[in-house]
Amino acid sequence: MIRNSYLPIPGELVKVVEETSNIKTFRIVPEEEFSFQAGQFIELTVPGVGEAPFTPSSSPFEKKFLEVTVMKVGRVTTALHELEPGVKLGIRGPFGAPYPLDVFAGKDVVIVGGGVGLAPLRALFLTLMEEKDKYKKIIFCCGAKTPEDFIYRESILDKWHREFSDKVCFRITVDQADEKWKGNVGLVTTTLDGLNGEISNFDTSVAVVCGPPVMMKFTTFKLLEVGYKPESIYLSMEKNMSCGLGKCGHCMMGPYYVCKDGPVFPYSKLKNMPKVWD
Amino acid sequence: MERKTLVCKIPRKELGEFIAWLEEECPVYGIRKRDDKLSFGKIEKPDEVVVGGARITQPVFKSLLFPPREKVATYFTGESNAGEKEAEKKIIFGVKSCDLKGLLVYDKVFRDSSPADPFYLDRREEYYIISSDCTAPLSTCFCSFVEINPYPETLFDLNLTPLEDIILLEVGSKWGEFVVKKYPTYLAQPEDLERRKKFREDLTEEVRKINEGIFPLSRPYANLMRLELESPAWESESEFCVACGGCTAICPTCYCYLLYDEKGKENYEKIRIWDYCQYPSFAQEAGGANPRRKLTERFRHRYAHKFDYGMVRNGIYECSGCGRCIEVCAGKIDMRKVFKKVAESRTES
Ligand SMILES: Cc1cc2nc3c(=O)[nH]c(=O)nc-3n(C[C@H](O)[C@H](O)[C@H](O)COP(=O)(O)OP(=O)(O)OC[C@H]3O[C@@H](n4cnc5c(N)ncnc54)[C@H](O)[C@@H]3O)c2cc1C
Ligand code: SF4
Ligand code: FES
Repeated sequence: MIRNSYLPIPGELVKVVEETSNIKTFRIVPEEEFSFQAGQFIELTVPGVGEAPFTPSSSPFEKKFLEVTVMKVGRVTTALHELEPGVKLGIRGPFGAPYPLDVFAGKDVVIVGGGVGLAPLRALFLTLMEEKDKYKKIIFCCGAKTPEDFIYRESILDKWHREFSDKVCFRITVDQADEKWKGNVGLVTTTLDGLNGEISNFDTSVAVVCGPPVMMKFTTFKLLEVGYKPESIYLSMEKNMSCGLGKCGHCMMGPYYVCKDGPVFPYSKLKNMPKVWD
Repeated sequence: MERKTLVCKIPRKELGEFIAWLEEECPVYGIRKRDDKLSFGKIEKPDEVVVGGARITQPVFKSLLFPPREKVATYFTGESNAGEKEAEKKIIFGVKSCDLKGLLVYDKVFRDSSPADPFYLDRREEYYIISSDCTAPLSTCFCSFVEINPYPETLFDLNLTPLEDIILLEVGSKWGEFVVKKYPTYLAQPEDLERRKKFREDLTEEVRKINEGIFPLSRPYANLMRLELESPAWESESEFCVACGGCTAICPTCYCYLLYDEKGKENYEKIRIWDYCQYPSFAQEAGGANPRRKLTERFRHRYAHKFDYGMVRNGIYECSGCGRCIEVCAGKIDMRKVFKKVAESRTES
């Protein structure tokens, strides 16, 4: 019997973490076997309300639960934000292609994230940390509007530094500091200043970017300027989606179904595409 | 070019008996003529059946295999709700070559590209297909410009060529073979095949003539699409488009859809409905971004999808040449003329 890809499996919402004023992380325990790889996404159903695509932000190595970090922007995300632990949600997927870790192996990995775009990057980062020795340098760059706007604040500002600073270089910035902030101030692109001093060979270095469209645009241009090749810059494309199966047509970008061929693409595949940043 | 297939014949006046015989096998659905109107539906009387002619207004396979609205999941019940149906066989009679091209596109999308759609697979099993050659192409027909001929060459169980006094039956499957062996037919003779060849040449010439001056393009459209995405003709040609989505709704090769959730009587349900890439919100994202915000961009996307992306992904033009979109268009837009304008803008620049 063939699988019905439209049928969500049930998962119990067990924990809700308030990250910022409009972003929450939801921990869900799937009631049937479910696994994913970093970069893949799910369609999360609020029963009777609707579904929307999200990239799990938890480590794929975590087998007991998965987490999604969701910004409140519309119908489904607002319904999600109103939920309390104990309710049942639906999970379809995983969909899309994972980050190509085999390509990353033996290379520097520069991660650049902004806003809720950090969600897939957290899953990626935790995956890299499982097998740290496979990669050369790992540089984690991220920015937020103000110190209050960091999601995963404790990890990014503290915990990960303690656990991983032997391997990882963190470059953290805010657009606007408050009185307590002692770190860098500037747009996330400023964290890439001086990167060419740190990366010895751009043939063996990849950059992975996820964030709001403008941030991705300017980060990509900056990375090109620094010395990255289009094929070494990996971008997450956010498009309107419905099926997740490469059929319904909503996510189409040129000949690609973003849900199936992506959602992560090397910039080399996108650079001649009209309206990439829209 | 005749392929080596089994071709039989029956006297044309026996058509009614043949239909009656088929009905003994299983229900026959087909193109019928009632009160001078053509429609598709269950054949009630053998003599209402139409063999030749051209395609009818309604795209035959679309609603049958990909219903406008369908429940695709009832969730949290512990059941899979798909792939369990025992198909009750039906015969689809009288469909044309362009109908089969639509079927080919749906097969590629819903059956051959992973993951297969379980609902499609179930329904696809239900039908025996008895197609037929066209005998009277319409002014909007351009099938022979998009990889097919006005006579079926694939995907049928049995194909009929109606000539004056005989009907030739070409076998396309085991079941087709069963029919010509069980029902009393004669083996087609070389002169019959020769007549069919001539008939088909004339027919193809007729379609070519219809399009003379309207659609002077030879393939490949994929290259044209790729090279001419920025042509000013897209803007001028889409001027009369009112974004009603009619062309996509009537199109036998369009397959875009939308899923939504509903609370059913007892359970939650996911419903799939047809969706139209011509609607402004089709590709709109939550933040308000929209890669195809402008009507021209959506208009062009439809052409690019069918003629470029279809070729890239499925190796075919996702267009049947049936001309239904031309017939239905409120703005009187003719796909063939659009292509012509786009091609001309290239030669001009
Ligand atoms: C691969 C991918 C990964 C993503 N990962 C994340 C993530 O980790 N975190 C995050 O916060 N965001 C993520 N997003 C964005 C997120 O999917 C959107 O913010 C979300 O879809 C918004 O849904 P909404 O209903 O709240 O918004 P709305 O604005 O109400 O709807 C968004 C879009 O969905 C359509 N829509 C509205 N109602 C329905 C309905 N009933 N059925 C179907 N479609 C409807 C609308 O046309 C609109 O274009 C991701 C997007 C993609 C494509
Ligand atoms: S498009 Fe071709 S196959 Fe279809 S009805 Fe017209 S002539 Fe027949
Ligand atoms: S979301 Fe349906 S094709 Fe990509």
